[in-house]
Amino acid sequence: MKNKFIAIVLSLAALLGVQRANAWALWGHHLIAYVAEQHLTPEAKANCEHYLKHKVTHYSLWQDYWRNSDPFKEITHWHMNYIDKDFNTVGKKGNITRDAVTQIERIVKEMEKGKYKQMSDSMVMVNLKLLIHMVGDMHTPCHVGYAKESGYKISSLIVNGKKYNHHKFWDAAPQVMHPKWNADKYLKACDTYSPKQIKKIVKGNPTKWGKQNAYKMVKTFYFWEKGTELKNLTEEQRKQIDDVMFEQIAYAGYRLANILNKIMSK
Amino acid sequence: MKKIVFLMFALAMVANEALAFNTFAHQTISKLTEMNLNEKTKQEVKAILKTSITKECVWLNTLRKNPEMAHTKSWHFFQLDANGKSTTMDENDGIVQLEKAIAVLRNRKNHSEAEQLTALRTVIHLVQDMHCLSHIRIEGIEATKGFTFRIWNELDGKGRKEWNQKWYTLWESTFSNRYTIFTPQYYAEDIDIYARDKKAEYSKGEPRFWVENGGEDVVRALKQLNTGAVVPTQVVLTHEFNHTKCMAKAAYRLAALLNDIFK
Repeated sequence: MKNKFIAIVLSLAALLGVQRANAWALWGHHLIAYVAEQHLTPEAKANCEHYLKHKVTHYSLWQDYWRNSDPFKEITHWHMNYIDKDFNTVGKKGNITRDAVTQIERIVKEMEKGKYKQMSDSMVMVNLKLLIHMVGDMHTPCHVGYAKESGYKISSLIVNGKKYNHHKFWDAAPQVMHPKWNADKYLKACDTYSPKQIKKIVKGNPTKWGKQNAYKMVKTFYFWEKGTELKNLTEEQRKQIDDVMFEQIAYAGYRLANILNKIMSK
Repeated sequence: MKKIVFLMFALAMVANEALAFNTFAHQTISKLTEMNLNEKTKQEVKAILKTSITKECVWLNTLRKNPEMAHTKSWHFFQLDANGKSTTMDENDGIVQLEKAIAVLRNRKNHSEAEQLTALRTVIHLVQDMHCLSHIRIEGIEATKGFTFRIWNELDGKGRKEWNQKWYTLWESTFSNRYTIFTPQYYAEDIDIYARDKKAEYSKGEPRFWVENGGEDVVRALKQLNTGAVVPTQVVLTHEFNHTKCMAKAAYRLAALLNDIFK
């Protein structure tokens, strides 16, 4: 009874975003944008670089850096994918629409079919930065905001003597699991899908992707027992973590590329 | 035993000294430089270095760790007078050493291969170092020798968090460390996208002008970041543009200088 109560409280805390929600942190976001970059059309790539004045990877963490600063304080709420007990995107807390999935859908609608050309350059830039970050965020295992009655067990992992809860671990997973890897090594591990598979992955829209993620990520609550040390994970457990991480980075990258190609190709 | 202890202490002191840009940033600037060399310069540089600029770009940092070469530490710093002008003729200053090295290369037919190699390595490193804002000293502005300030950020509903930031670390590594997951070549291409529209403008001038230009950036930065300052994160974030610009200037200027020397 007590454990269930704690699990509910922690789920509620995650839902409310009380934890410092940085999603993938630096590496994860960089890697997702890096995967996306490999799959942009030349036109979309050139167009994105024109507005960003940088490669698409450069601003992958912009939304986290600026989230608590004027005039971007509202974006601090646009990092999670809030869902109800049926795994449908809720997208709201009270009267405020504050959800990565709903914001991605909004920006795509406002920019697609050449509509971005009616915007100022700085507005296009901000929107691109938000898309790059939020598509990454919604694919982070710990950024599915499950309904409070879900009761999923949240277990901590001990990493180098420090306690990493479910959220903190998945935020830092790319760096924790393979600290000596660089972007190209990660690309080789993640970007392994055929064109046919990628076509299937990018089918749908952010709302559908959010629901898929919600179903897929339930299993991540059960990968290890509470208090397990990272160094003591079995090969199978490490593979489970890697499989989820590589897949989510790849899926996020392909879907981000799909969105950017849709909006920014001529 | 005393000699060993002294040497270890000396090495520790040298190791703790600010290194201007960190190795990753130096390599990135070097890659961008290489992207802007003409064919003749590339061949001449390769003939002297026997390798790439990227591989030799931190040679002076390695040199300074040798206790017998500890006097070269000061070469990594560039002094401006109270009017922000580069007027020093002090042999210990980076600008004087840089000008000497450039003179050797311009008159390389009268210098040995070893002298040309030392000179080219010196030019590569010091042109890069002079664009690290924490390596410019301005007479009368004590803060240019280094200081610590505080950064704060609000944590969602959890109040304010503050932490220390050193002036030299900010310019040496804080911004460039964000991209170490990528290769120096990739980061160089990223900087080039940002700065290439201004390449012609940035490439103009001579080294003393470049230091003075950097001095203007230092004065502007110190208006917000100074001893005892407590600044919000977004203020520090806006300085990344300056850092990127400095790296671009270092690369374009070094390329322009080498193209001119070896024309």
